[in-house]
Amino acid sequence: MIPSRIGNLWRTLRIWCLFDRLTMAEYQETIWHFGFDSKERTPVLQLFASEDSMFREGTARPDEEHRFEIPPSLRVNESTSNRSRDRIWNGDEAQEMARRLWENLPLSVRDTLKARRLKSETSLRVRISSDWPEASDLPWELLLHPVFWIPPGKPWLNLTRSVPVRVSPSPTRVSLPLKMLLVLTNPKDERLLDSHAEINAVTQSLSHESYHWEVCHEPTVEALQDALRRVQPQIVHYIGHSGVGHGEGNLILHDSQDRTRWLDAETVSRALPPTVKLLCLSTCFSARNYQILGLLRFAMASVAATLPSIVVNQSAVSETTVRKFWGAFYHSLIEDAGDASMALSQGHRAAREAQPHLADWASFALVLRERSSIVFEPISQIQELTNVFKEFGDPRVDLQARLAADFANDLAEQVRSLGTDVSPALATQLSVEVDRAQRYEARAKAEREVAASSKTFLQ
Amino acid sequence: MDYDEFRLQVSPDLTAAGQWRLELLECPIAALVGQKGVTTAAFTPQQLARMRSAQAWPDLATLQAAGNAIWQSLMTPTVEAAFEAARIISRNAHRGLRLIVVSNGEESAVLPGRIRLAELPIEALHHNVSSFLATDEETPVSRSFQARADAAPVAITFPLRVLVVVATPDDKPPANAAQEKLAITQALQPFSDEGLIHVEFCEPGTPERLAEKLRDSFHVLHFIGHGGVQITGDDPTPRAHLCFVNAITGRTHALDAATLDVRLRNSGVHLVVITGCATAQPVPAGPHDDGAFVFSGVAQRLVAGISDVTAAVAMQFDLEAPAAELFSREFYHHLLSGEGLLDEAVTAARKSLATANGLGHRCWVTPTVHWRCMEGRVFDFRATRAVLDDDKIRQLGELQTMIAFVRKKLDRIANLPPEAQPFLVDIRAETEAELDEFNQRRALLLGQSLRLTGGRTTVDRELACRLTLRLLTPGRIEQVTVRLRYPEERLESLGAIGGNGAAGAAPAIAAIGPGAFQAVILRPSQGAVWAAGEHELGMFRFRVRPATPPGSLDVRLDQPEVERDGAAEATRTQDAIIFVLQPPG
Repeated sequence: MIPSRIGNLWRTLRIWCLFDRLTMAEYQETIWHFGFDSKERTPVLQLFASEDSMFREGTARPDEEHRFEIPPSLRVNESTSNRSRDRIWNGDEAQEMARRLWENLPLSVRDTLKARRLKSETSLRVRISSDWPEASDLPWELLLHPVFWIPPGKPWLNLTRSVPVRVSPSPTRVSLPLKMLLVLTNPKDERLLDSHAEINAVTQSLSHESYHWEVCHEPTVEALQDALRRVQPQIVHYIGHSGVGHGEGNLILHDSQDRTRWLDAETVSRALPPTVKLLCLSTCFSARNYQILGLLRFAMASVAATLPSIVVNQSAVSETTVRKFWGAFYHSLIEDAGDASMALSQGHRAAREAQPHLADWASFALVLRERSSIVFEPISQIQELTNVFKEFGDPRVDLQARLAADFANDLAEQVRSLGTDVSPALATQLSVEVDRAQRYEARAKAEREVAASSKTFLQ
Repeated sequence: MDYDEFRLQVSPDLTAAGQWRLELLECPIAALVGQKGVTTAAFTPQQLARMRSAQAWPDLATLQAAGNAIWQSLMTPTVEAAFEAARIISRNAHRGLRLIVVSNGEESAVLPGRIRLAELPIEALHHNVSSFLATDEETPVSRSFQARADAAPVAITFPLRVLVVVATPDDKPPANAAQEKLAITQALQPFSDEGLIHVEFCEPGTPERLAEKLRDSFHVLHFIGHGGVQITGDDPTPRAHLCFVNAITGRTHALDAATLDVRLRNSGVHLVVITGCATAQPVPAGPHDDGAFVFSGVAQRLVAGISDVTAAVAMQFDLEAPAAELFSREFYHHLLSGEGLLDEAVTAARKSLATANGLGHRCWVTPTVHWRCMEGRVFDFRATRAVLDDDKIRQLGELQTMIAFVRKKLDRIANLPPEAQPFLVDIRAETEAELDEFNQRRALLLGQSLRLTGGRTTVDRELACRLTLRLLTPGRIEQVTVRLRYPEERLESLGAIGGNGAAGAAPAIAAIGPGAFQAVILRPSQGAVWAAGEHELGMFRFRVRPATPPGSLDVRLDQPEVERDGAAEATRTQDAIIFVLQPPG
């Protein structure tokens, strides 16, 4: 028992140290929000110090100081649609796109970034949110290109996408091995995938100690719902096609005749059990995706869809990159205590180093749909609190805190978009919802502390 | 008229451009439901262009030829046989057959010489025997994105509150806003005089003014103006927008459907009607701008989106001034005076347009209905027409919005897996208490009211709904009559029992059709004077049928009649909500 206890203690300390280091000390966070100047009908970039300030100050009346125009060369019109996403980006092409992105940022933003990157002791964490699909469609991850590293060899920027939320419960503790459901779709009226190769590329590096995975082959919606209910996974990894309908992303599953059935974010969200803390949306490499943009649009769906945080492909990827990225990502997710942002960086690095002449590593984006990039806190079996926790993954108070936060976030998003036009009834209800979410979160936190101290005592 | 449903799903074949797959999702003959093969669009871009053209729209023969091509595009021999068989079955049962075409997915690219599925004007469906289906009240034609209707009618008390936006930006073909306003006012005046409708105008037609007006609750948003489409970002699908007015420049402020959808969330608006400026010349068609076709795009997005909009009536071609006026008058007239069936009201308006302009005029093809409503209704109009003052109407609207929001929360809780349910006790209780509080506040505003209370249950279990009468002042109650409507496919009625508060016998009930019965409570107060307050009249027992999914069900009260102190008295109603939870694993 002694080694286990020491191991657990070490891991717990490490989790807390990492959490503290990542969120408090090492990163300074900035929100880039792309909205509209409602008078001029031009897109504008607004900077916020935090998501709190974004909700407090509101985005309906954007500050005109920072204007941002989408570089025309990065726009994709109907005739070239998907072509740039459908091919694997090579190094030169990616560097050129990255340069154009950088040069089209407002000067003041660039100056801030330059000043920041010269301070080598502090990295900058940028979260990009948008009310405007044209901005969120851009390949912002290319700003992580090594060409921007100063000094050379030292990354200084941490960049994620974000669907801002008003309140966010603390990360849930989940026991190892994490339960993962791999969903591979292959509708017969679509370009067919090599199922074996696709699954193998994602799972080959997974450790059985850390992950227990199950593959849901070519499910209908009903079969997927059954599998989700039975497995109660913490991670759902989708591999397959996507499509854009009415401007919004859809995953493409099967109907009862093995033909396509499009599923939007809200439908998928209703099917996901509350145990799911991370959704990974992989494009297929063994066949061209129907409309790969559908994956990114799906991941950026409105907060009303109440999806978990999502790792998503925005452009085509090679098999090698898929193997390297997911191997490093899933390894880091455990090692770095559930920090999806850190895991994304590790995945980018591994893929970049494996094929330096390509830039398909930048295809992988993280869309955070909660405040913290720590999507869960992995703990070993011996630290499980109760059987309920084991079976369901969420103690009572955690689940209620999560639900209350979802309700508050749903309403907060609407109130944010309405700005001063919000009706008094909605504004009052939002206060009620936020108070409730904070109350449940406080209860959850208190009970987690009690449970943790009881466990320490028992051990 | 009661209707059966013929719900036909059409999906673009992703591997064979230009082909569409057909699946019959619902039919009065259950055995016919299923895949119905593949079809190719026989309707051509040239025919579409002719129908869209403001100058060269078709005559009767051309319209019939176009309608036949649409028929060939959708009605493969097996679908046609199923439709004809279903029509006979429905007709023999004295019921109509509602044709709903469901679009599933979109084409990523369109072959030259082909049209997109969304562009097919299904309203012009023509068959040499059946003629134009959409002009026949027995066979209304409409569109949906949902495999099944999933939005229950929203109970509202008259008047129906309609917000009219007349948007005439300077950079669009000029329109006479005053004339537009006059036309819609005249069209709706008779209903306004009867207290059935309350119309307000959003002036000027800016997004800011719209947001301000939406703070007061409205049931219907009626937009009169221009539309357009544009490519947004990397998405090749042209996205539709409405042309509002920029408050500073007076020029166009394009409000895309997604943004409008967010604006309309929790606003109380459930129906959107979009018509072109009757006084303006049509906008010249751009590369992605096909005149009024964009209205259809906005309508589709709103109904499929996150707002509470469950139905939209929009124009797929330009509608001329007199036709637009006639449409508005006939549409609202049939919506308010009939059973409140949306497609029936639009069909009646089509018929009037065809009568006034001739069957060969495309104007009757122009209106489209996009919806997801159950029972064919967006609204369940409360029979009581007693006048409420504006402030009470506004407060009721706000409460209705909050009730809808809280219901969504409870639906979400009910949808969580059975293992989770024991852990949700606190938040569920809190949310139910919130719903109860909103309902109590609503009851206070309504005055004397009949209230049916639901509860929580699981499939195959019984639940008794309690009927109470809330009195503002003491009174002797001689008789109470009310109709109850419930989703028959989800609930089974098991009869009624006497209430604790009523001295009389159990309510007498008599079926009046599928999912509906009338209840009569004779002498509930037994000659005594009941004090002000709430009095139980009886209990109605229901069982949730197997295979009912978790979520909420409505049992609605309709046509209340309360005889009190020797006279009939105006009484409003509050419906029951039954929450169906996941059965324990």
